[in-house]
Amino acid sequence: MQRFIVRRLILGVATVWILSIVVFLVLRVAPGDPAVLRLGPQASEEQIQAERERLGLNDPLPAQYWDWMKGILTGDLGVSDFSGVSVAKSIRQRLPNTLELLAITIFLTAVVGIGAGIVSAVWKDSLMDYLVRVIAVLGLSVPALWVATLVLVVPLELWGYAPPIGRVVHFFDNPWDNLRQFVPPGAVLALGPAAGVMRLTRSSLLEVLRQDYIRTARAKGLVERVVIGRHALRNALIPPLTVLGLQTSALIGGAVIVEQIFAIPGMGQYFFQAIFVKDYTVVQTLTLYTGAAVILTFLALDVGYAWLDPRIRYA
Amino acid sequence: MGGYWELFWKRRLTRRRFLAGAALGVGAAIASVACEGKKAPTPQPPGSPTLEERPKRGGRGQAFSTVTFDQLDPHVSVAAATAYFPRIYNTLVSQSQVRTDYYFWDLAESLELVDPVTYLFHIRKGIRVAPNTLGIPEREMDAQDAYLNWERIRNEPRALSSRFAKGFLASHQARGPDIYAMTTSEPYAWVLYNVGLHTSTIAPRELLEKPEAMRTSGAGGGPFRVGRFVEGEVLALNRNPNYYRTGADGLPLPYVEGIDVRIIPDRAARRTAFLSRQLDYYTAANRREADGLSSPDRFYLTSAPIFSFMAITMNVERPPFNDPRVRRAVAKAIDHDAIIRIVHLRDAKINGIIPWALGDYALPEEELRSRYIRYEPREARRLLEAAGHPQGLKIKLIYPTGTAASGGGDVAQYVPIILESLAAGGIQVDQEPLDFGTWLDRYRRRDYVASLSLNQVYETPEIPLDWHTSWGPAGDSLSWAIFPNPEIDAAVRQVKRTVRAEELVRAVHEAQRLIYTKDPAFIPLPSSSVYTLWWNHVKNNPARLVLGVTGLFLADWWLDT
Repeated sequence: MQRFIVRRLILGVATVWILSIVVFLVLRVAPGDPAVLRLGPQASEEQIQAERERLGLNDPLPAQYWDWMKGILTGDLGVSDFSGVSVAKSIRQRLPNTLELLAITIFLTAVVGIGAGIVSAVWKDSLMDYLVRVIAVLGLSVPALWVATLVLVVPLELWGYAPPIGRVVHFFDNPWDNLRQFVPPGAVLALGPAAGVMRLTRSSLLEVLRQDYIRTARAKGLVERVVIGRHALRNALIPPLTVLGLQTSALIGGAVIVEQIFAIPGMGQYFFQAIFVKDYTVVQTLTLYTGAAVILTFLALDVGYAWLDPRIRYA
Repeated sequence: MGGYWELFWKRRLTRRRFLAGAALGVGAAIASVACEGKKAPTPQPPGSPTLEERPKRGGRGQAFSTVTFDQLDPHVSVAAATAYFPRIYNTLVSQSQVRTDYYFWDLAESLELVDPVTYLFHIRKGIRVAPNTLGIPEREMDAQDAYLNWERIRNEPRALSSRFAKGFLASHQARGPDIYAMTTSEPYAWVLYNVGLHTSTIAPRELLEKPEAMRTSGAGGGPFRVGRFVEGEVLALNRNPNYYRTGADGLPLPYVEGIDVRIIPDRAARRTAFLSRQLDYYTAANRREADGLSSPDRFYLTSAPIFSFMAITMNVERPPFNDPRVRRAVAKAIDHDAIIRIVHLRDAKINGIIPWALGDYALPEEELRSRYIRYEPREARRLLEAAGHPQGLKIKLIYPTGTAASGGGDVAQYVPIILESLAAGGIQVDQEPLDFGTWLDRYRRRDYVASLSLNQVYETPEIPLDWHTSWGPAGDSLSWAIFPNPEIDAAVRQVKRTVRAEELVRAVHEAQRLIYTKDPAFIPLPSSSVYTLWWNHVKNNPARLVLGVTGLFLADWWLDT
């Protein structure tokens, strides 16, 4: 297992390095001049050239790449081309918000998705099963963008309630306001993934429940709770867990929209704004970090499989 | 919405009208005084809005920005933060371009015009730098500060006001601590406009030596000081205890303890935050939404014309638009009234070369409708035939996607109307929607045949006229759009040199009429008004005075909470 992890980490580093080259080149090949975006219409050629010089865009590409990588390797992530604020500082300020949002989302996805999947499988073809499945279809088909807007507008119209908007309330300063701020976007973000996890959990559990060893467990006289909880669920959870892992990286993309709508200054919003103004330093660095995070997530998943299913062994 | 445009949305919030005639324009005032060679009559300090009740002290204003701040450097920043520089720093004097008789005398307490090109600003005593953590002494501001700031603006290529500083500021100097002198290269109509811009504010000279600190912090003699600045989250301004002004009740300003500006990009979130009293104001999408939210026992409404507009731009360097008949055909084939009906829900006006928001500088609507802006698709077809396109014409039109339109509405709303009306005139459009950055880059490099274009806020007729000159709106004869015509160039140069208000209006009118005879390549489309709802607890609101950028300098509003 240790060799497997080391090998995957080495492969991961190589992947991240290739990713760094790809993102660096794609940004520069893509049309649009960051200096023009930065200065806007009516900027003169002289102003634009001065800005390009300041941003280092007139340097040869290898020199630009080396400057950036040198910073990354020495822990200096540079400063945003747009705001002039240190990227590391912005990440420090924003990352906790996104992590909290993602943690709530993953928690809700797992609890609601797996819970509803179990209910739906155990009481198959019951009214509860149909109800859960209908809700799951809705969750998968309704765009998060629309639901997010409804979550903001409807409670206000009906009950005059609104979450804190545009100011970050830290959990340790005010836990209640913090949850009021983060749970609604987390729930919106979890809606689609939870529906997917629910459907997968249901089908996977139904499949497992038909296995011989489950019949054996029941024949031994084990109570149903133990049969489901200890014997069926552990095997049935592997596919949903895989999906959950895959969705974690997708959630980062979803966070872009939800953070924009709920005015949460997180990494998604940072990424979105950086792309919009072609802030090369920020986009490159965030892509690199996101890539590394996804690689580590997948590694953790693989390790998780081995823990869940003793038959899985990595050479 | 494009981040860049936040600046302009911010800037247009408080304008409603441009007073007819601009008869008391500073140019005229100064010029007339210059002829007499004596000190200019100092206009009265800005009258406060009528105090509705006895002002209360305390509370924090709750404001929003739709995009994150780029940086806090007052001379270089281009985005949302610019709206807050008048709260942190001082200007010499800000003349409202909406109500040209309204001056906010700040660092300069008076102005003397020695000759038509020499301006002497008499520096006010007692303006002290706010307490700060940047090591800037809490000393009095003086003429040397003004000199060094304008020197920086002149030498910093990225400075927004550098165009004026390079183009017209021949020399300047501090004559002792109390007099700052500016000499322009020729008489120029918009000196005070440029001097009073929020991107021409004056920072203490010690701060200029710390450009890194200026990016994320600041210290000046304005009514507020920078408190907390978290990129992407909040800019909190706190009351400057050293601020020199007092309110109408004799108490020191500002009345409020501070302003919190939060980044809220989404309209639904802003609306929710406003209705739940987390924000003091909300800018409605249009008149219909503002009316829908109307609730006099809770809110009041302010409105102002939008000082920006969409335009159709044609590249005269490329066929078919190098042929004036084709340009005229396009002009005849655009249905401006359909845009007013559909995009602006009938709440808009047609725009000539100078937009209607600029009041008397704009040609009268009757004249525009009778002579220059008439939807005549049949005439368009005839012109195309005469230009050698009997079967009509196919053109490529670039435009930015996913962005709010200048002048109200959304770019996507304009496109089908433009396509349909041009088709009726025999012009088939091959659409080329582009992301904002790509569009902007191609537009700047003149890499287009035709474009449906966003525009900035234009507070004076200067740049709207520059679009039709050989030097173009950037003044570099290279970028965005060029229209080489010596007659127009001469007329626009003459406009810039005209400092008497009544002559200026006439010159601007004549320049427009001349441009129309040359079949312009830049056709402004209709624009609407902006409607802002305010909670009733915001008192003495400068937005009610409709002063434009000048209103941002006022600090005598208060909160009845």
